[in-house]
Amino acid sequence: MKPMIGITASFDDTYIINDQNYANSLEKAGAIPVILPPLHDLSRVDAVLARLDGLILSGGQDISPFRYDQDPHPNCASYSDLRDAYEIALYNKARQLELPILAICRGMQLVNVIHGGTLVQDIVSQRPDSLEHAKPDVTATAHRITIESGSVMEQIMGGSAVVNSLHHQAIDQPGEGLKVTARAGDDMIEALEADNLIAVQFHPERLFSQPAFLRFFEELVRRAK
Amino acid sequence: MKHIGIICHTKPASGPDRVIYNRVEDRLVQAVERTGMLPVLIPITSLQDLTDYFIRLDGLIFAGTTNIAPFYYGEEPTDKTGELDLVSDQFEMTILKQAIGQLPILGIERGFQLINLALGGTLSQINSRIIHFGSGTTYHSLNIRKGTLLHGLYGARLIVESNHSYELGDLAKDLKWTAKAPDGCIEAFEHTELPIMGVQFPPHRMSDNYSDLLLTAFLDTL
Repeated sequence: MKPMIGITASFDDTYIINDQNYANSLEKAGAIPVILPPLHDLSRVDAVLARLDGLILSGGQDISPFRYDQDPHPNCASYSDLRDAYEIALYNKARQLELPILAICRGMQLVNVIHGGTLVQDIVSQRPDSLEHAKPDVTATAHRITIESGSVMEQIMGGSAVVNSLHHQAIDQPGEGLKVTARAGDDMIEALEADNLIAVQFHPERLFSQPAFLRFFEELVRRAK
Repeated sequence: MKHIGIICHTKPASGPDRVIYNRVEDRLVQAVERTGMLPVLIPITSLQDLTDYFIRLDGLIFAGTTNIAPFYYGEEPTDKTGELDLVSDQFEMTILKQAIGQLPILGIERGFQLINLALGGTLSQINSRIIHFGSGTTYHSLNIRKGTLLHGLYGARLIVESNHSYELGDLAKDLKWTAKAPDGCIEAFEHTELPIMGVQFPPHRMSDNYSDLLLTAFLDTL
């Protein structure tokens, strides 16, 4: 039986939505994917996770800055308390169950905030000397990353890699218990790790036709079995 | 707690990176949660064997509004068919055919028509004087058949929202109609043996009350 892996969802005015590349990446890596819409009743996360073998915290909108004790920067927009609250509950329960987790973009930022870390709310205005991290075409390569030796990231991508990039916020202070395993040339944090957790700031799902990026999903599926 | 799989449809590519989304109407998801079930969304993939899903789910909902390609019942699209979603057609037909007899199934709007096709029925383009679709929200009444589950929920008559340019042609032989519009258009059915039911109208877009009645009845079949 193939492992079933849940993917957190975004939404617009009418629909719960999820970039199909997440499901396609999981399918190619040998899992069956399901998309998890945010629920209002947080006590149901136990039941949601009871039938899952792994979890992807997907990309999407900003996280409420109140979650890390800051007021909103003018360019911090469209955060959803519903989504934040649901995904925090889901993550905490999944950690308790020791489910394997892959956190991507917003997902990595969320994990960092849950672990007590903080975010740069707007890279362009708060870190003006940074590389370009918000490339409109996320299938294009954006910048290099340098990877910590001895990390799971290194097993997946090697000592360095060129990645895509689509984020206007970033990790500022890393949270407790999270190991920084990759950085960009401007020192921006590009990956975090803990037991059963791989978190990346870039978008492997958009480049899953390349083996180095597909390996993130294959590693998740391997751990989910 | 019962896990209900709702089958996604795709949103056509947009934006500079041509991203395609799997999506389900938020109001349907909320209606399922409100009734005490756990909604999980099944994305469109090219998986051919969907049985691994059935082991982890208690029921399936097929919904959506895009017309099913008329090729599935031996006809050609016309100028009224509108945009098609061939990828969804193929995936939904595959998962539905494998699910029949494995899980309870509820079909809404497109899903209602899909079930009839999967069981061997047909569709035909509506040619009627009563309004089944329009540019804004349209309504008509339903006469509900006595002795059916639907009659127990809504009584003999119900005003429904309507937004469909095709109707059931031949009803599949294992289905029994449970409601008709005044022009004879079949608007709801139950399976004669299996826990499968379908409605042409969208309860989740009409009112919480209508929706909760139907979804609670579905929950009772799980």
